[in-house]
Amino acid sequence: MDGLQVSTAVVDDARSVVSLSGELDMATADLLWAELEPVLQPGRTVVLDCARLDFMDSTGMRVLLRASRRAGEVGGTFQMTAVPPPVERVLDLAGVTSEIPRG
Amino acid sequence: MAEPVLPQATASNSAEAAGGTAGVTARPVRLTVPADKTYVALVRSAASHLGARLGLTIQELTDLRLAVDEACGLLLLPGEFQTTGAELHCRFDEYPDRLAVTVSAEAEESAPDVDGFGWSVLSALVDELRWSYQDGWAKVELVKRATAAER
Repeated sequence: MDGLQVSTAVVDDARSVVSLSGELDMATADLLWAELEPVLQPGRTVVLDCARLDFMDSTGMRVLLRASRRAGEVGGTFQMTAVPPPVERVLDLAGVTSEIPRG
Repeated sequence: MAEPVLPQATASNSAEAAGGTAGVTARPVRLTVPADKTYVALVRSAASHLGARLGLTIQELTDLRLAVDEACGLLLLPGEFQTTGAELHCRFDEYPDRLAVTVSAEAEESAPDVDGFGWSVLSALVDELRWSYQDGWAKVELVKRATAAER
């Protein structure tokens, strides 16, 4: 059980990149939200780098939707980048692909 | 009067049993883990291994792994089955053309949220899906077919 590794890099005043590695599931979703919530700030773009994300389930997807909503509420931006097919599949099946912009 | 027919019928049945083993599961695989979200990764791994043995494509394996995860979620997440048991029981039945997976746990009388993301995602991933609650046990059963095996 590899779990999920989350690392946050502050690029500059307006941009943070949160990189994921491993599996985003019902056991690790809370960990991601704890990392994302503080960086979802007004005027800030948060890019979620999914290149090394091997798995995501509907619980993990809910965190992404929550982050997207929060960013909208506070006047920030939340984007995903390098989304691998298994992760894309969940977004597609849940019909929420268009709800999270791609960076 | 029926005597001449009987041996023939028996012989015919035997031939079928010997020649057509489709639908017969040789050895079910059972996996019992703590009813805790951190063990679902282990159930996913087991499903992936068995799916690979069946010859599922990469896409089908991706779907199986997700389906089994979501099935476990129906027993472990709030707003779904109200599981009370300490264990999650998983059973995998390998058939020549499909894998049948049953996940169950002791639970209060309850039902999964069939309008939620979990159920809707799950139903799109598998060929058969049902839930049941009986005698204190909540159960989710799914079947994933191998398209390559059917050809």
